[in-house]
Amino acid sequence: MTAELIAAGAARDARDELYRDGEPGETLFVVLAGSVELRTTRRGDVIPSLLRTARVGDTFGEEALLPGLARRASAIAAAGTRVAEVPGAVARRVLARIGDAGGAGSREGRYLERGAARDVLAGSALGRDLEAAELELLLDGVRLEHFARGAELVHAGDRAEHVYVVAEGLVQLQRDGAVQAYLARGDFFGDDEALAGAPCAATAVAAGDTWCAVLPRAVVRTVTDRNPGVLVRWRRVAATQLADQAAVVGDAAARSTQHAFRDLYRLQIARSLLVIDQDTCVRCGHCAWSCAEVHGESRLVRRGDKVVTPVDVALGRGMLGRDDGDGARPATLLLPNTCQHCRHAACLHDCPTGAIGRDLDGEVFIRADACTGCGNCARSCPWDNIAMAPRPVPPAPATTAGRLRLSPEIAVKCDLCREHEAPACVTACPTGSLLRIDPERALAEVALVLRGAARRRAGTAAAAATGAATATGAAAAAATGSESETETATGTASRTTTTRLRAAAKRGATAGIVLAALAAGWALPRAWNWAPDRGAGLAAGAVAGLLLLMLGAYVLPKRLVRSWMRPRDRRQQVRPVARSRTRVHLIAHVGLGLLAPAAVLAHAGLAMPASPAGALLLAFVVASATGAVGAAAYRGIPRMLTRIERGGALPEDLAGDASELRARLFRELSGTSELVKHLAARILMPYARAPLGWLALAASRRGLSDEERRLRARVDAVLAGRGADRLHGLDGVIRLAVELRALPGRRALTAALRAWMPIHVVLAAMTLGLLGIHVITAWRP
Amino acid sequence: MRRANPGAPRHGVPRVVATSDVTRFRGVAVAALTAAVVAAAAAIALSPASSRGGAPGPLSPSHRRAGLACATCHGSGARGVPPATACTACHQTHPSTRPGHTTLRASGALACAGCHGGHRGHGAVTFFPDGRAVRDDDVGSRDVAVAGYRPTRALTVPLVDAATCAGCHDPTRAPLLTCVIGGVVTCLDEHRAVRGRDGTIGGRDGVWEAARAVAHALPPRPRRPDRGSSPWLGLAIASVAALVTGGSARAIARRRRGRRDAAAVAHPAAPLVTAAAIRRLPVIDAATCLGCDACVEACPYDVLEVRRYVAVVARPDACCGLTLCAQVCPNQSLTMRDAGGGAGAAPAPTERGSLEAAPAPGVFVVGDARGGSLIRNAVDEGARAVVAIAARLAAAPRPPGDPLELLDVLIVGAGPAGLAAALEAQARGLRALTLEQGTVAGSVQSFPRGKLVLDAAAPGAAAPRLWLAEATKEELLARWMLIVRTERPPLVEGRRVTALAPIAVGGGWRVESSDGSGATTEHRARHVVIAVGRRGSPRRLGFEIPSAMTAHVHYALADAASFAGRQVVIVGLGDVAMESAIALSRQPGTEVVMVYRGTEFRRGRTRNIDELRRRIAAGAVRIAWRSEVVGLAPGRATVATAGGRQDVGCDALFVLIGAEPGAEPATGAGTSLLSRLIRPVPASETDPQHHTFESVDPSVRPGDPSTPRTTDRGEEAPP
Repeated sequence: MTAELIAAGAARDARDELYRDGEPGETLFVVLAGSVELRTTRRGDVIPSLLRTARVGDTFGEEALLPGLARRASAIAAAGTRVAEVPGAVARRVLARIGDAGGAGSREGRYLERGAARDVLAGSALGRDLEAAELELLLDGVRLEHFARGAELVHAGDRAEHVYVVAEGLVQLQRDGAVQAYLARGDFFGDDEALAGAPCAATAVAAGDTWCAVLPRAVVRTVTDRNPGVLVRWRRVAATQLADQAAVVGDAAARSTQHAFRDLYRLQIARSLLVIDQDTCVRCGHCAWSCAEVHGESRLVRRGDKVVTPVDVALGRGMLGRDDGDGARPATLLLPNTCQHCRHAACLHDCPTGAIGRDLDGEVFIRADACTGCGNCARSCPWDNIAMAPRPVPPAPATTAGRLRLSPEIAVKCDLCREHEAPACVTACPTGSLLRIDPERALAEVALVLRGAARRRAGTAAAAATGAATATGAAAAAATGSESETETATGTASRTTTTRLRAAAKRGATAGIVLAALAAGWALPRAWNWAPDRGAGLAAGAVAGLLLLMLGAYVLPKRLVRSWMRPRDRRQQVRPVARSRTRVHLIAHVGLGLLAPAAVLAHAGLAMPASPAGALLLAFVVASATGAVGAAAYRGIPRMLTRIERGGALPEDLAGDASELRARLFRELSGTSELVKHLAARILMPYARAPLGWLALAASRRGLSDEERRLRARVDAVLAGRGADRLHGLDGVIRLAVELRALPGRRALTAALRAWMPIHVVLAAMTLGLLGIHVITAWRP
Repeated sequence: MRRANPGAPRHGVPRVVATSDVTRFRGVAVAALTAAVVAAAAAIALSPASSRGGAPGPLSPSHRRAGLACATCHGSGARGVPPATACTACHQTHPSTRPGHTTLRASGALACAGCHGGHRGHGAVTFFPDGRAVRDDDVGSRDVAVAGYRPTRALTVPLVDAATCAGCHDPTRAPLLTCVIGGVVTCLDEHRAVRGRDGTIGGRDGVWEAARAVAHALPPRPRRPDRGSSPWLGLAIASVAALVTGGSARAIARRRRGRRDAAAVAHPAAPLVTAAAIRRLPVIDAATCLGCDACVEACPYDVLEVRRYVAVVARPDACCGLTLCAQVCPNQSLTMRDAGGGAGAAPAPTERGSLEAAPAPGVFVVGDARGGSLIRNAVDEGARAVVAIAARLAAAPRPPGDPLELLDVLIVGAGPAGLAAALEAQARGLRALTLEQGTVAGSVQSFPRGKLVLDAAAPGAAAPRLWLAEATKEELLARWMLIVRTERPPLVEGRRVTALAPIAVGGGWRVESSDGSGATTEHRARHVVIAVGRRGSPRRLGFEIPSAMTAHVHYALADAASFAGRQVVIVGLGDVAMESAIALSRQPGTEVVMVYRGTEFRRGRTRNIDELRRRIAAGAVRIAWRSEVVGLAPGRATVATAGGRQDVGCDALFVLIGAEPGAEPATGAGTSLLSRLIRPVPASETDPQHHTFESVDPSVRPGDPSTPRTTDRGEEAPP
C-alpha cells in the first residue's frame, strides 16, 4: 500500500513545519527519509506536547482521508527529511483501487483510519493521562465516524454502547427538545451511561459535519478500570465547561430567541463571517452593489439569519455596539448570504475538479478556469452562499479535440476581493455597519462555549501573538478581555454613563453649531446690508458654491468603487482589517450639508426671483430637504425596522411574503385542533389583518417576541384556562400572525429608507446644473 | 406581470441574481444628468429677458420705424448704455435743465439713455406732418388723431417711465407726485426749450404740449409682466424629464441584461414527456465521468446514482426520458441514447376516454388508480369526472321523493384527483362528500423534500387552480392547503372506504367506510369517484386478517407518537418501512420488531440503512431476517422463521411491503381495483325479495341516514 501511495504522491524535501495544528488537512504524507515529529496542544494544556514521531515508511496526516477533519497536530520535520505528499482525494482513489473492499473497510484503510484516530485520541485529554500502551488498547476498538449535519449520534433512551469523542465539528446534546450542551473538538459524551449500562440520557445530534472517535463500551471500561483516576479528571473538566456553557447559553436565550447558538456550527466553522449591524445598517445595499461593481455580479445577498449577541467592541470600534462603548449592548447582526470561508469548507471537499482552493490565509476561492459549472459546491454549501453565474467570457464552442469544454456557467462566491487590498463590501459601507469577523474570537459568547473559559484566554493571547485576522483588533480584544474580568460592575456602569453623556454633548454641540451658523446666515446680511453681487455677500456665495460642489463630490468615491480599490500588497503576510472608508465621506457629506444652508442664506436670502438664481435656490432648498428627510430616516428607521423583522430581507422579497406567510399560516393550521382554528379565525387573523396594525406595532417599540407574548396573553385571557390540552400548534400560528401584522410595516419602513435617495440625487444634480448656469450668468459684467 | 425569477433554484442550484440592491440605482445617473441639463435650460428659458444678461429685449417701436440697428447706437461690439452722442444725432441736444440732472450729466453718471430707454420699456409719441400721431407703449402702437398740431416732419417725443425716476426720487413726493400719470412721467419740463431758427419756441413747446395731451388721453396700457415663470415650473419640467429618461434607461438595462443571461445560459426548454422518450436512457462514459453528482441532482426521479466515483443508471425503469441530466453534465460524459425498447414496450399515454368503470355504472376511476402517474393528469381527470357526472345529473334530475341524504357524488381519496373532483363538485353545486383515509394529499406529502412535481398544465386542462408551474412539492401543498382551508369542500379525513355495494332500488352506491378505531359508517351516493391513487392500495399479507385485528393493521404510518409504549411489528424493509421503524423506535417505550423475508439490506437509501443499523445497534429495533408474519391474534403476531414459528407481542402491525400496481392500463378502467373494493352483496341482500338497502340485517343496518350510524367493530374479538 505504501508503495502505491508513494507512487501517487510527489516526493519533496521537508524542512521545519509541514503543517500546523488546526489547519485544514488536504494531503497525506509518507516519510521517505528522516523523521517527522507530530506535536499538539492537548485540551486543557497551554503548551504543545509530542504525540508521536513518524519514521521512514510511516504515514502521517491521515486525517486528509477524512474530508472535513482538520490537522490534529503540527508536523515538524527533522533535518534531511524527505516525504511523499499525496493529495487526500488521490489517496482515497488509490485506496479504493487496491483491494476489492476498498476505502475504510479494507485492511489498508483501517490502518490509515487508525493512524488518524491515534492523533485524535492522543490530542484529547485522554492522550495526556494514558500510557501509550493503554492508548493502543483504545485504538484497537476505535472507529472514526462521520455524521452529516442533522444526523443523530445517539437517541435518548437507546442503550448506550459507545463513548464518543468529538474530533471535529459540533454536537448538540438535546433533552426534552431543548439543547443541553454543545460539544466541540476534544469534548466527549456518553461515558456515564455507557459505563453504567444505562440508556442514553440525551439525544446527540451533529450540528454540522462532525467526526467522532467512537469507543466501544467494553474498551473504555477496561481502560478506566486499569487507570482509576482518568475518568474523574475527564469529568471534572467536562463539568466545569458545561456549567460555564449553561450560564452563557441561558443568558443569551433569555435575551433573545435569536441568540448566537441557534446555528452555532456556522459560527464555529466560519473564519471570516460577514456581519451587518442591523441597528445602523440603512439597507442601502451599497455593499452588494459594490460587490457587483468589482466582480460583475453580486456575491453578497442581504438575506439571511439574524443573531443577537454582544460583539467585542474593540473589533467593531466605532461601529458595532457603538452606543454605550463597553460592548455590553448586544448587537443585532445579520449574517447575509455570502461566503464565510469555512475552516472545513464543504464546497472544497465536494468539488470534483479541485477548482476550489484555499489561500495561505485560509480564504477559500474558486478558480474559474477549472470550474465545470457542475454546481456541486453550491449544493454542498449549507448556507447557500455559492451561486451559479454566466461565465464572464462566453466559452468558445465545444471542440472535438478535447472532451472538456468550458462550461457556460461557473460557480461564484465571495473571495474577499483577493486581488484587492480589502473587500469592497466592507470598505464601501457608508455607515460602517459591515464587518468581517472571526466569530470564535469576536463573539464572546461563542468563544466561551466553543473554547471554554480557560482556553479562551489562551486563545486570545495566541491570537494577539500571531496577529491572525485582526492585528490590532485581537490585541485590543485581549486587553479588553482581561480588563473586563477585573472591572467591577459599577465601573462599567459609570463608564457607560460617561459615554452616553459624551455622545449627548457631541450631539448638542453639533446642533448648536448648525443653529448658530443658520442664525448668522440670516442676521448678518441684514445687519450689514450685504448684497449677493459684491463684498461679503459675494464671498458667502462663493463659499456656498464650493460647499455645493463638495456635497456633490460625495458621489465620486461612492460610485466609482472600482477606481479606488487598491490592489493587494502580496508582500504583506496578513491583510489589514478592512474598515469602511465611505463612512468618513458620509459624515463629511452630512456635516457640509448642515453648514451649506447657512452660506446660501447669507448669500441669497429667501427670495426666489424668476431667474437661474431663484431656480438654484429652490432646487437647493428641495434637495437639502430631501437630504434632511433621508438623514432622519437613516437615523431613526433601522432600529425600528430591526425590531419588527426576523431576518434580513430584500424589498423584493417582501412583496411576495404576504401570500407566502398566509400559505405558511394555513399549513401550520392544518392538523391543529378545531379550537386553534377557531382562535385563528376569531382573534389571530383579525389581529394580523388590522389596517395600520403595523404602525401600532412599530410605534410600540416592542420586538416581535414581546408582541408574541402579548398576543398569547390575550388568547389566554379569552380562553381563561379552558382547552389547554388542545392548544398544540398555537404558538406557531401566533408567530406567523405577528409576522403577518408586521409585514406592511417592514415594507413601509424599507421603502422610506430607500425612496428618498434617487429623488435626492436627481435634485442635487439639478442644483449643480443650475449652479453652473448661475455662475455663468452672474459672471457677466 | 411578474417575471419568472431567474434566481429560482434550478434543481437545487441557486443562480446569481441581480437583487434590488444592485439594480436600484440603475438609470439614476442618466436621470440626474438629464435633470441637471434640463433644469439649467429651463432656468434660462423661463427667466425674464432682463435678468438673462443678454439683449434687453427688442427695440421700441419708434426706433424700429426709424430703422435703427444695434450698431447705430452702441457702435460696433460695444455694449451697455450708449453714449449721449448716440441720441443727439436724431433727437438734437436738449439735455435736462434741472440742477441735479445737470450735475450728474456733467459727471458722466447720467446720459440720455439713463432715463429714456431705447428698447421696449418706455413709451413715446410720434407726430406726423399729416396730423396723425402714434402712441407707442410696451404693448404696441396706437394711432391717435391730433387736432391743432402738425409738425413739419415726423417728430418723436420719448417719454420716461416713472420707475426710472424712482431709482433716485421718492414717488410719493414732488416732483414725481405731480407729474406721473399712469406710470409715465409727463411733466416734460426738465429740458430747456429749444428755440427755432425763427426765434419762436413754439415748435418744441407745442410738441411737448401735444405729447402731454396724447399721454393723458392714452395712458400706457398695463404691460404683460415680464417676470419669467416660477422656478417651480423649471423644477417640475426637469423632474419629469429625469423620470422619463431614468425610467427608460432602467428598462433598457433590464432588457439587455435579460438577453445576456439568456444567451449565456442557453438551456433549451425541457421537452415534455412523450411516450417515445420513455425508452431513452442516459448512458455514462465511465472513463470521463467526474463523479460530480450534477446529473444525480438534476434527475427529478432519482434514476442516477454515484457509485465508486462514477455515475450509474441505478433505476432505469424510473427514467422519464428528460434530458436534464445530459444538460447539466459538465463534460458530456452523460448522453441520452435510445435504449432500443422495441415497439409496444412503452405504454401509450393514457387515452382519456370514458372515466367510468365499465362493470360498475356510476363509479368513476380517476388519477393514479388508472395507471398514469402524473399529477397533472390526475387533477385533470378528477375534474373531468365531476363534469361528466354533473352533465348526467342535469340530464336526469333527482327523482321526487329521493331521500335528501343521497349524495350526488362521493369522492374516495383527497389526493390531486380527489381534490380536483371535490372542488369541481363544489363549484357546480353538487352534493358531494370526500372521504380520505389519511390526510389531504398524503402521497404528495410523502414525496422527497423539494421534489419538482408539476412542469406544465396539460393543454385544455380543467381545474387550473391546482396547477402551479414548476412547483416544488412544498409550494404545491401550501397552495392546496390554502384552497382547502378557504373553500372548505366537504371532506372527512382519517376515514377509509372499505366496501362499495350497489343499491338495487333507485340505483346508486352504498359506501362503507371505517375510521381508525374501526367504527364504520355508511354513505349513499348516486355516483362514486375513486381517486385512491397508488398508495391507496397497499400490498397486503397473504392471510386473512382476523376481524378483531383489522383496526390494528396499518399500511402507512401517520403519527408515530400515537404508538408510544406499544409493541409494533413492521413487515418489510423498504425505505418506507425503515423510515417508519426509525420514527417508531424513537417513541418512548415503543418496541419495534421488523420482519423481512430477505437476509440482508438490499435496497433503500444509504442514510436510512445506516440509521437503522444504528438503531438496531442501540437495541431500539429488532430485526428478524428470513421471516414472515403468518398469523395474527389480539396482542400477538405469529412469525415464521427458518427455525420455526414463534409469537411476538404485537399491538400494531405495519404492513409496508409496497403497493399493488394500479389498474391495468390496457383496460384503463381500474377493474381489478374495483373487484377488490366492491364487496359481494351480503347474503341477506341477495335474497331476491330483500335486496334493498332497508332490508339489511338489523345488526349492520344503519339508523337515520342523516346521522350515519356507527357500529363499533370493537377492540375485542366477537364472542
